[in-house]
Amino acid sequence: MNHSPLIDIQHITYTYPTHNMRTGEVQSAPALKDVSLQVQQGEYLVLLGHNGSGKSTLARHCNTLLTPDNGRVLVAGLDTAEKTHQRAIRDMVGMIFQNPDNQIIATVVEDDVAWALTVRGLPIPLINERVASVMQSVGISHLRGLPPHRLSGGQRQRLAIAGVLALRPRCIIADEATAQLDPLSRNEIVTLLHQLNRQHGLTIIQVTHLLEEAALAQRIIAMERGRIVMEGSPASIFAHLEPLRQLKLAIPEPVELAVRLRNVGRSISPEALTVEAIARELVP
Amino acid sequence: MFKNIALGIYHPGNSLLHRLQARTKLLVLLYLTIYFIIANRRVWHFAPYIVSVLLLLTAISLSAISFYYLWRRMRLLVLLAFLGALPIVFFPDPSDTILHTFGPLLFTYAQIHWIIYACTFLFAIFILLPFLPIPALRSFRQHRLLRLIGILLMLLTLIAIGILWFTRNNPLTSTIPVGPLVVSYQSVWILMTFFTVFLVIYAFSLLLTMTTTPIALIEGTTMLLTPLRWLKLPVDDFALMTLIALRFIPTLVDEAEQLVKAQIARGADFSHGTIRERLQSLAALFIPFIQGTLRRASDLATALEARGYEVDGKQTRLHEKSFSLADYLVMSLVALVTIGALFL
Amino acid sequence: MKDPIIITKNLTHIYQANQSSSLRKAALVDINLEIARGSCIAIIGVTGSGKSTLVQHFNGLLRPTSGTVIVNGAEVNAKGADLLKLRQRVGMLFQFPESQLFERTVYADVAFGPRRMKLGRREIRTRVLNALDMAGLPHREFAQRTPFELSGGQMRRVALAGVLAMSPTILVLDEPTAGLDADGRAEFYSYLQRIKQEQGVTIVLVSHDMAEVATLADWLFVLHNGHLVMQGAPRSVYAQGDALQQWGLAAPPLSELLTLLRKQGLPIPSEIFTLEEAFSLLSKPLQLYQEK
Repeated sequence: MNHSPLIDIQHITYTYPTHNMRTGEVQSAPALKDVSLQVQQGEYLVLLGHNGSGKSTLARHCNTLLTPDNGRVLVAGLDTAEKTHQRAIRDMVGMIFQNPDNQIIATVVEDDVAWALTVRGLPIPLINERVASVMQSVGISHLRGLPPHRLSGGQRQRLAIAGVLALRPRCIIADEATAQLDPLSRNEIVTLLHQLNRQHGLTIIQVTHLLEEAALAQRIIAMERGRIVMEGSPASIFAHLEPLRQLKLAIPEPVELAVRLRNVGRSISPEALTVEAIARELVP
Repeated sequence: MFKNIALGIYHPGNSLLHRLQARTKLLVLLYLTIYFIIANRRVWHFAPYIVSVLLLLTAISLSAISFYYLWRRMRLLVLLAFLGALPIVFFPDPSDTILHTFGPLLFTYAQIHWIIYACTFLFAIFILLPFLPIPALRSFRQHRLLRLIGILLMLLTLIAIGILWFTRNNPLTSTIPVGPLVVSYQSVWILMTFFTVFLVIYAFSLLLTMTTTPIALIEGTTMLLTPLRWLKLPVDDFALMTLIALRFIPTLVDEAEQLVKAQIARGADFSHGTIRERLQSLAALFIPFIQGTLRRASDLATALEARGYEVDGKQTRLHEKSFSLADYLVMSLVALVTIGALFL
Repeated sequence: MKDPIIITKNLTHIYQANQSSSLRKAALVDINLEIARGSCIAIIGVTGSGKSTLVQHFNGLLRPTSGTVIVNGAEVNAKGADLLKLRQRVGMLFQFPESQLFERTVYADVAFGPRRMKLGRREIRTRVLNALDMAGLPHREFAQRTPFELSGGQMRRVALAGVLAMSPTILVLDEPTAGLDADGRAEFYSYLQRIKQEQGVTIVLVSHDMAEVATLADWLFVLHNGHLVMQGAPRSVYAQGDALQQWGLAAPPLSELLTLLRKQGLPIPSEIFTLEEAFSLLSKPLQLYQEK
């Protein structure tokens, strides 16, 4: 059993190159400052933080969309800075983005799922088989012949996941994938990601600013101004609300209620973070 | 209308024509175009044209599309083409052999004057009719056809007045010759062949787009243009661009509609106000739209990069498979029949 | 209700009403509602329930297929209706409004609306600067900047200022905080509250975000498949979790928790709605409160 991490981030620093039009100099605050992180195969990890905390930047280092100015990132042992490793790494680590529309390229659902496979020149029987099985796992088989503009937001994100899943990756990164969706669709996607994590052993890295989504993770990494400021299981992170408030994150009301009740002596397990779990704890 | 642009005028079906590869159909079309150029060299040789029309009829019957439907789509353009081509008949080359001459018609100026008076009278009636108290005539002016006639009559009257003015000095009994209209063998031949070629090629291309999905067409075209890739031309990129355009047009239409509503809600007005104000309202549409499209393009590029897009050239075609027996049969049949006709 | 600012009577809207029956789509069916002047109301429902269609009738972007819409005493689909004036009275902000900015400076963009109203230069200036301050963008700092170098949340508030500069009596906001993080949302609400209080503007929210609606709105209208299925104060609407579920909606998490606790036997009175109320109730010692 291989215990080396799937993604190994070692002391990376990164600054977005911005060009000041007037003076011609490149200046900006670093988006990541000396960040180190190890992601194990099969983990469900949440990168938590408000807009601008650096979480998306960190996520994009995991599939070579960005390469660090200092330090290095190893994906399954391959250095992301090496151009020759790019394709192999992107096959292993897939990513879905915030805008459901701007990831779909084909005119028909099943063509889009197959797209990444056609680019690699795989034979048609293999493509058909993969596409059918992936659409099944994601639950969009009944939409196969539709054009993308007839799909709802949640369905489009599922299509995006299918397109990435077709490459049989080891890890999927969801970069604020639920930010533009309505609550129903958001649930759909989070449930799907958890399902893929449990049933297929896929590593999932979810980048979000919503604490209710973070509550379901195995591990939470909280970021602020380019640094990792908190790390741990949801139970440990949610035990103290004040640091979370300082990170400008909105505390879900049930969780706040549970914490305040715990502080006045009610015995509520720190693991209870969902509405159902808290309700169970409150009923004697 | 724009939302279905990805389907174009494709009619789903399972006929023989639907089952042929896009490449076959494209090649046949291309072949026929060149064929007609060759066939035109032998004058008064009808065989190639008859054969091509027969091929067309066979093709229509082998596709799932009814003759009537096809005719309905074609009729306007065909009519226009015919009317436009007709004058060819009347202006032959001096060296051609004459078929018939429509002798010069002689009009006296008196006759012309009478015609002009009649036109003016009709036009006056036309103008005055709505002012009569009969209610049925009120909506007279609104009817589209009658408005058209009205405009025509007005033009005629103006021309008539012009003619009257320029010929006011000519004595009433002198004559104007109209014509002679000379029809030659060659010009009739040209008219017939032009018309047949137009009909056949247009019908075949309509059949092509009706029995082939746009994606298959793009893939087929890309495959046929493979030789150009050796000349370092970006054939695959063009295919991808067309595909992306087809994919995004409905989405962009939605976005544009939304933007129009948002700017109207802010007070933008495209039909009232000074030119400057209207231009500003248009800018309120175009600039955000282009901005949004550029942002989309950037997002899409990132997403495709993350999915491993590379310009390799060995892309699997999802819709164009290899040639089947039917394709070979059709291509050879067409070639045989048409070349045979050349020698008849 | 006396003097409601918006009334709809039997409002029905069918898309492509003059096409064949297979193409027609009923977006709204027989909507009857009244909105009180100066209140903040929210229209909730799943995507496709007709929320956007409904609010687009309030400023004349859409005309009812049948029924009437009366805004501020004037009937919207009357023959000579002055739509331009209506659109000044009813300011509307669509989803992701930052995408509609186009001028070179923030000032120019916010002034776009007032200029269309043919006001004098000075009047426009006052309005623009006021609107910017109201929307939380102090004009000294922001007026001359390019909209495109601002953050998403700031750009959104520039769009809001653009609508405020027309001094609307009614403000319609379609998903105003979609895509913003917690901070951005809180900021937006605080400015919205201030606008409501200081200017007495009637606010119509269209939203998915139940928590947002619970804090801001005085009255809710629930749409499902084009029908108005429920209306009431947030407290009472959110207490009916089962009904909401069948319409594809969820109550805010706290209301869901309270409903679950009630189902599991805890005697929680239905007036309990906010976090503070729940906390003070549940923090009492068990025996005391079970006795109640």
